[in-house]
Amino acid sequence: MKVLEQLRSELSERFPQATQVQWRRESGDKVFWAWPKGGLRELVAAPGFGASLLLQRWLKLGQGIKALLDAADGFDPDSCDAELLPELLWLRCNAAAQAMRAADVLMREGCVPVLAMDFRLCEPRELRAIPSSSWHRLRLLASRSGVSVLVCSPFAWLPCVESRWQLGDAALALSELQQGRAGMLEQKLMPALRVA
Amino acid sequence: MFAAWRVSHFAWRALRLEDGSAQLVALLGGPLQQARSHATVHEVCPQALRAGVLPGMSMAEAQMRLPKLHWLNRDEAAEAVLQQRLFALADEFSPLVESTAPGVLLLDLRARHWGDERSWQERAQQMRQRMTAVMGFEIEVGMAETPVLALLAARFAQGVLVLSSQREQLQAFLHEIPLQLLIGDAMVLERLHSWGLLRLGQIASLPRQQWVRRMGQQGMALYELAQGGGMRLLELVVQQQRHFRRVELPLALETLPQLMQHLQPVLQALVQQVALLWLLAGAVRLVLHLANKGCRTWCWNLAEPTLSLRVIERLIEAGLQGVRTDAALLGFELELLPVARSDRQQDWLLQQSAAPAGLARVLSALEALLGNGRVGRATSDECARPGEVSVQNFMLSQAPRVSVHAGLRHGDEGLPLQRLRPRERVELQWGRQGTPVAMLRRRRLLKLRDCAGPWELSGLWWDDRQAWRLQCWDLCLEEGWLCQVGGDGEQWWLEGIYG
Repeated sequence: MKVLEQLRSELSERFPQATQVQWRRESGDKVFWAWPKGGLRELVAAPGFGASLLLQRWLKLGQGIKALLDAADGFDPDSCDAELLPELLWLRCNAAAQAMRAADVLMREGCVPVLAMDFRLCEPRELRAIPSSSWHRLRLLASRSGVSVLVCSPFAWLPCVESRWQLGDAALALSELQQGRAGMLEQKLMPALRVA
Repeated sequence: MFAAWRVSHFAWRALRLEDGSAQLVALLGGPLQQARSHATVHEVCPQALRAGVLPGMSMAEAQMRLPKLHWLNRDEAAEAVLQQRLFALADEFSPLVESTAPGVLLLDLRARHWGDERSWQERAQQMRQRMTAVMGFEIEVGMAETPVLALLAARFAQGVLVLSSQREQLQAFLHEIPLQLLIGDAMVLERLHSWGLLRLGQIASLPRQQWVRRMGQQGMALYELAQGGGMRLLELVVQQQRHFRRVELPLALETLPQLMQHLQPVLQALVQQVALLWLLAGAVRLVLHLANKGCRTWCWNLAEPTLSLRVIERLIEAGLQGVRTDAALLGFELELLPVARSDRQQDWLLQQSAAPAGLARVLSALEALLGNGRVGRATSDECARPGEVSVQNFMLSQAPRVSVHAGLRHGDEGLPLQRLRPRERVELQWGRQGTPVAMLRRRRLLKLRDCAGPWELSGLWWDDRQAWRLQCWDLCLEEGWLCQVGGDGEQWWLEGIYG
């Protein structure tokens, strides 16, 4: 172990940026579940890699009214966390642009402190059509109103996020549909979560 | 005192057929095509009744008695219109009116002090004359001290019948009423007849306790009726007043600020109108009339009912933001839908908020932006297809209902599903063991690593029109993601993606 620590310290002296990322990987779960007030964060994950579970856990741990801005109307209440569902404000949108307008309305008043925006089922060209100025505006609104925002997107796309997280391939199998969610989060998803 | 109005041959009158018409008419309850085999006579015209055709007869029986009988379907919409007209007339005599049955109204006249029995008789005659003058046909009017007695009086009146409050006269009237007019159950009636009980008065002389022990709740109601009947509360009909304005614009408008300028004074007037009734605006309905003769309609709910002009204006602005019309505006209709003050304020979401007024404004604006029923808490019906959910509006405060589909429920285990709305058509390729081995989606063949199923689901099987069956498979693709497909065994759709 001493050899390992010595190697780490040598590496950190030679490659300080790389070791910083390493440290964040190790304590990634703690950082991910934190709610910086007025922060805009991005979780990058293609559909089918377990980001919904992370998203729901993130919302569940939040304080106050929780809103889910569902840009492609893909949320399934039947498979949602039973404790989260009664306190979740679900906003069903038909398009990414509509979701952006709804987020604007929601954040201007700042009366919903925890907001998740799910764009994973949207078409990439639809997402690219949103001007980056819209995101700058949202970030400004979030910092003013103190709303914690987690944006779930299929590819790294937001121009002005405080932190970006990437959910890698967690190699899911059908047997996992019978497993407990807490265990799956700890064993499968959190190890696959990286700071991008 | 209570007054009961009864229109005989109500369904027939609703069709506005002439009294003196030579045509003998019978009305059927259901569609004519189905009626040929099963339906019975719902109502007949007075001439056909005199000829012996009675409601409840089969078509064959009725035609045996009157071969020239003309068959018509009853018109429920026309009946509702006639009932509404009756109600409007009843409102002239009392604000407390119950719509007891089609063609039967009950008026609470206890606040009227019209003197002795003779005066009530005169008032009943006035009611009848007024009805004849306005509606063109006569009604039966019954008056008595209790609602049940008034209804009975109207049932047996030949024009007008005012039941005296004197016990002896009342008992004399009640005792002569045949039981077959009060009891619909043929078996019960037959049993009573076998005991020699034919009239209501015979029941009044029986020992109460033993009678109720034998006959149960229905027997108790009959016994009380025989003793003069009890008091009950009326289910009052409240006339809805519309807070509505239609405006034709002097010049065609093309922009939202111009429209808002014209809307403002109208909105102010409507808000004042609602405020006068001690109500609040709960929703706003707007119809825009366009130059190309088209029209567009919106209805927005207010999360917190209000009389604030500013809040309602902001709601309309949010709802119309970004809306483009095909032609300029020539006019509009604006309506405020009122709610009672205590009706909707204690809401689950607003209670949690530190600034409920601000949240209510935001929720109203969001619903205006996303559409009705797209902002709120998710609910679903246990019998509905998987994925068929609705959003419980923030106005309601009940706990949400979530369905549990056996075999597919992953509330605390597995991965959440992301539904595709609308679901996507796919094709499955099957292996020798009868399980899917590949899925063709958007012209791409996706090989499967594993599969589980089929999960057979069905619902509403008792209703032919809404019954559904679904076969579901959980698939694990070689690309590394999990999904659910559903179908009827021949056609398949991608229902959603896990995770």
